[in-house]
Amino acid sequence: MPTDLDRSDLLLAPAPVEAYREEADRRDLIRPPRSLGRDALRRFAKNKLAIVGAAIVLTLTFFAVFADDWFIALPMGRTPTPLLARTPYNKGFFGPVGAFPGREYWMGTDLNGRDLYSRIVYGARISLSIGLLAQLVALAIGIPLGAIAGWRGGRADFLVMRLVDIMSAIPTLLFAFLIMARLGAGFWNVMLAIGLTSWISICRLTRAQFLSLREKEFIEASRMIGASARRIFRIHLLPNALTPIIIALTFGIPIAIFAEASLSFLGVGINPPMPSWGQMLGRDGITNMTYYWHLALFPALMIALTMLGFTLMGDGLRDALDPKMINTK
Amino acid sequence: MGRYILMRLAGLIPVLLILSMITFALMHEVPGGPWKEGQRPFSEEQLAALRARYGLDKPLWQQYLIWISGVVQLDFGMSFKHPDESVIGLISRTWPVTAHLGLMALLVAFGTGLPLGIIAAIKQNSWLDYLVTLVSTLGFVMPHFVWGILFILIFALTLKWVPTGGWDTPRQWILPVLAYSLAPMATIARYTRASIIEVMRADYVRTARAKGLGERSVMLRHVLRNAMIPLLTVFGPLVPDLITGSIFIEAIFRVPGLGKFWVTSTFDRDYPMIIGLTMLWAVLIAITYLITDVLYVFADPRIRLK
Repeated sequence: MPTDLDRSDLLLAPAPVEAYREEADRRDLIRPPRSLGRDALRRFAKNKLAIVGAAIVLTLTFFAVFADDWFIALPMGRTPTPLLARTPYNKGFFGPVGAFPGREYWMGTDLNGRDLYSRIVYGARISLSIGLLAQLVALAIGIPLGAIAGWRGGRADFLVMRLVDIMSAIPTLLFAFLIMARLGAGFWNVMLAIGLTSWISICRLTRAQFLSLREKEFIEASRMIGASARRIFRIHLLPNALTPIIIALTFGIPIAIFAEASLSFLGVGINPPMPSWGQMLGRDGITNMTYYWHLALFPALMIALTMLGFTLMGDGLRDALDPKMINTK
Repeated sequence: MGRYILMRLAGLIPVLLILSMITFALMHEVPGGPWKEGQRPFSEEQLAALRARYGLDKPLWQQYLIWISGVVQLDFGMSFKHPDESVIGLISRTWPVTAHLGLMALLVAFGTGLPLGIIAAIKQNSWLDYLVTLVSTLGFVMPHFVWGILFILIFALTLKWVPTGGWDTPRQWILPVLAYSLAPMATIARYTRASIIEVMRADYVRTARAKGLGERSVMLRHVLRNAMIPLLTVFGPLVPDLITGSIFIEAIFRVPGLGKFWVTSTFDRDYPMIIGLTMLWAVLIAITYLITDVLYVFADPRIRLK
């Protein structure tokens, strides 16, 4: 066909480079601007391990919240009945003692005849809430101290850092033990003891963030155009220091869960009959391990699963939130 | 350098003093006493005699001064729980076992962690890398008492390869060393990988490649050497941590070491032991940081100590 040889339309069309540029321009206009949060979410969703971690954490949270129908029952004046767990955690002597995992009690029963699965489910509530609350205590101490030290510098910095020096020279376990011995075992005291021993790294981190931010050009510029200290703190410092703190928080939760398990394992954490995985391991678990293996295996696996979930999620969150990581994945 | 080290050691003294005061106050603040909850019931007179004998009836500041004047002569007092042994004697009797376990665990941890981290970094994003990441994440996150229990369940009770506990024959060493070394191994592998990947992206590595150096020489002389420097900070504290033992490992595997005293001394209100151990830990940590700082100078010629 003649038109096949007629190349005038090609000549009239924009040169390929131009076309490419136009196309790119058009796409840029179409593509909505993405915030850091959206960007981070996209990167997080791409990370398979992080999704696995988040799925584990969400499942555990679901079990922790709905272990019994506490939320529905209490406002309606009923006594809570177990929803996910088969029985309330403290109900004992109703089943066979030390039954192995089977069809009816599929994680077996403990030596008081309590359904192990129910106790594991309630254990999730204890572990997660202690992990979160202890971290909040640590944040409430660590962030203000670190911020003051990093921002003010001078004498305040000196005092805070000497406190940090001394605190980090005390063996953590021994210190937590002294606090527990002083306060007595129990849910709130465990939370407090773990919080009081774990604020140091957050304090150090916040201080380092503020220290480096203080010298940045944009802060200086802001100060130069007359922004008040409060405004600089609120608009510039806090949002910029927030990312590493969020990451520290995600890693801090499994560390606090670990600490709770350790204290309960040694018998100074959660008081029976309230179950905790560490306590189940330390009391019945290791003493009867040679015969009643399920008493040790299931709490151990649950601790492992929880720690794994939080750490994978934390790893993913760190990679997603850290802008420096954009080019590496 | 010598002057710097002396200055650092001198700076340790006020820290130790304040730390000992805090610990002293804190441990006496805890209710109960060394003979309150014991199995042997004491009469009031006996208790008073015991308290007088160990000086517990004096005001706190006097007790502290007595303790500190003993410490100056390297006498940390007698253990309450083991009345025939001094704190120093007790520590030097039990520490060798713990140090032995800890050093073997350190050896395993470095021997496997370093190569794993290096391989994972070089083969970044390969299946090998993912495998190392998964293994090191597992090692990193699981408490060693969980590992210990799982190991006993699998290798001792199910497969019957090794005994469940004890510390007499080398066969009994395997499980505790393995369980104890996993967490530091994972830490080492994780940080080594991250540090190497970071260095591999540095400009001077690109320059080294650009000027035509072989891959081997780039990795060995440029990447590895520089990647090791920040790792000193991470690896240093592993040493005192491991050689002072763990109550969990020692309780699970029935190892007669120092580890349990970190916890039982508080249970027993064994005041001399509590404060002796705190001092031991503080000194160990301080020396570790000092050694890492000095090592920095050798690893990185840009760093000067002042």
